[in-house]
Amino acid sequence: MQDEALQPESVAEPGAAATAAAAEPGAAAAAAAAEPDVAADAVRLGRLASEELPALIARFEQSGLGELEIHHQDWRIRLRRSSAQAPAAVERPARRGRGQAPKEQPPSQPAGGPVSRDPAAPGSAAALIDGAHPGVLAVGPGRGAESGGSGRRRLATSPAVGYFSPLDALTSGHQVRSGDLLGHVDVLGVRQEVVAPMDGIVVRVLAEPGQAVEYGEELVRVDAMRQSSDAAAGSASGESASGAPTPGANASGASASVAPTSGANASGASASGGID
Amino acid sequence: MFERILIANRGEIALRILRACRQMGISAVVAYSEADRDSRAVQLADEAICIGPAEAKRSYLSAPAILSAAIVSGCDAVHPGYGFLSEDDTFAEMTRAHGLTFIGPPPEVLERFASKAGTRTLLAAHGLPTIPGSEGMLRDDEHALAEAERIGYPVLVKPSAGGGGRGMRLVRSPRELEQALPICRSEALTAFGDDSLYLERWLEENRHVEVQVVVDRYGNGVHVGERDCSVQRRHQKIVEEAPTPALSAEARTRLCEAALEAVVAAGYENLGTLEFLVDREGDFYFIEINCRIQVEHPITEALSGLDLVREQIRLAAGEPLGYTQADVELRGHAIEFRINAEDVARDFQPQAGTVERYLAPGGPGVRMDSHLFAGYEVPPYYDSLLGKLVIWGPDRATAVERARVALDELVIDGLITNVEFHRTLLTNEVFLDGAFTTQLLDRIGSAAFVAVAAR
Repeated sequence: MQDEALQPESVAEPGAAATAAAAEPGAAAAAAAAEPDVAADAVRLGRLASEELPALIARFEQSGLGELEIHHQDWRIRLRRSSAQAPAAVERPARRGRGQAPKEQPPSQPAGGPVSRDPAAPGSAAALIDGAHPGVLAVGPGRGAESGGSGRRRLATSPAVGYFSPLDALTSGHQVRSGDLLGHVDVLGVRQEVVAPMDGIVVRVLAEPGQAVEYGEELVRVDAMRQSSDAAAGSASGESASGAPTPGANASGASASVAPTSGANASGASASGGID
Repeated sequence: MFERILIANRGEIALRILRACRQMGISAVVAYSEADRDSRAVQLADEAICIGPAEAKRSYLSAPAILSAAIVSGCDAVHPGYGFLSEDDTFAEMTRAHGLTFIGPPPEVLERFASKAGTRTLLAAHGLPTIPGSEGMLRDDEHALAEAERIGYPVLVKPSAGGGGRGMRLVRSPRELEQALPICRSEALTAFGDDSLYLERWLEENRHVEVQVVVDRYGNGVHVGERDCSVQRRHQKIVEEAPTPALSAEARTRLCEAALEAVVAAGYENLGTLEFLVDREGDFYFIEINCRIQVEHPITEALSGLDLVREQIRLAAGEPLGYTQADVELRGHAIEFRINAEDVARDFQPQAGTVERYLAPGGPGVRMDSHLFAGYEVPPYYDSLLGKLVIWGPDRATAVERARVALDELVIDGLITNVEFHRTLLTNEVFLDGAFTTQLLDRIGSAAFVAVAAR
């Protein structure tokens, strides 16, 4: 009776082999901040990455599932099996709502970046790679961003399709804490918040005030703050992020992203469109 | 005429609407969820806008996301396709409130025909024989049992807010009804966000025949013949054809004219389909109306030469119909085969996966409406429809023969589909005779079909 309502958990094997990817602790740099909860987060995340996640990935691989999302305490983990074959014949649409020139999506994986080695895999919506900056990972949209990047640089993306209005104070060099308001996207008169994905410094605002933006569009680039006391920790996590699988992570797993839920909407089962 | 239309749908119908826009010289903007970023319609669109994550609730079912996308991209109309928000009168009203045209019936017409039970009453008042059913929504189990007693078993429990066969259960006794009600409520709530139910008399050995109507806003309307959609599995259509083998030419005309007359009198506008059950005696009973384009519209296009999506757009733009019933010519016979990503051997379980190879058949009378391409990753979040193979022939036998050839040619590698099932259906005597009812598949059983296929 319900053969048209597809729940992610019940999807059968997609048939394609999972590509190699490494889990990424990511937030070690953030751990260096003074907040005790952030440090505890980092410890938890470290344990998660080195102990629990590899086991989870191994189990997931053996299962027939295509995608799995787990909510555990404050954390949300999503494992996704991506296609082994990059479809060379597929044109990258890369179109934006204003008819502007398409943003570049690189055809090949940059050297850095711990995510799926197949960025051209269709539907890999979990991460966008900015090819010009290895290790940069788009997170978001907006709030409760998925980490998984180098931790050095992240992008705040649009939570909706609408018109972007940055805060007046938003300029390059401006310091932000994770969750700080960066601006809004106006959707039919209702303002949705754009927030900083992590502690850091605003490097660039990528959209103009009043610009029409789509869901997931990159809006603000934030660099992690490098403080002398945590330079070692920061660069350690940075190095481990740049391509080599972290110790303990399953080398032939699916791409994994781990994120604190911090109130972000859990993506539940979706209602599929009914047809005749 | 519209300059730019936002296509608020996905898969094969988004591609269909895009093609109509292209042929009319209208700019096409495709709104897509993250899961459809690499879809064919997005590739071909003049512009494409990501409106949300894969979850339909936050993308294709999100009125603000869709309307915002239409506004920021400078569209003047929105085509909702089928399913999703296509019959949502609130969405149609919001569309209008934002200065955009909803391609379909206007909000007040959608509202008038929104309630299934209410529509039956409305069209009965305009002379259409209707299927006995419950008066209004079922208040509670007691009300349900009382109504079922009045209507007479067997009855079909149906969700008020939805279509597509989901949330429906056939019950033959009060006990079965009591058991089914909570299940149907929960299925309806999950699928449509609304757990209201109503009851309808079920006719054994019935055929499902529907009439396509096209009505402009000035009260001029025509019917474009009927379609037989009796080959169903659990109330979901799998194969459709036109004209219906179940009725004589004279009976078909009577049915179509009755449908058109009633619906025009009730103030309908734009395209719509009136669904009927036809019993063994050839008597028809109205069950419901679909106020949108339907999946199986291509078979009507094959017989008539009309472009139904184009008609939707034209009429929504305020153009007069421009032709009369006498101008509508229906020639030949057409059959549509819905190609789904599903595992027939495992109870038609939906499949996801990547299309490794895709080769569409061709030749005279062969049309394949599909968004597939080699390398396409079928997302698991939506329905399993991969495409529609629509075959036309000067008569039914030729159409069947052409269908056999086309199904043999069709290649979809990389996922499990129901193509083999269709090939088997074309060897089934009951189907070939044209004397089948909606019980066809249940009677023969999916297992038998599979067993034959495995030969």
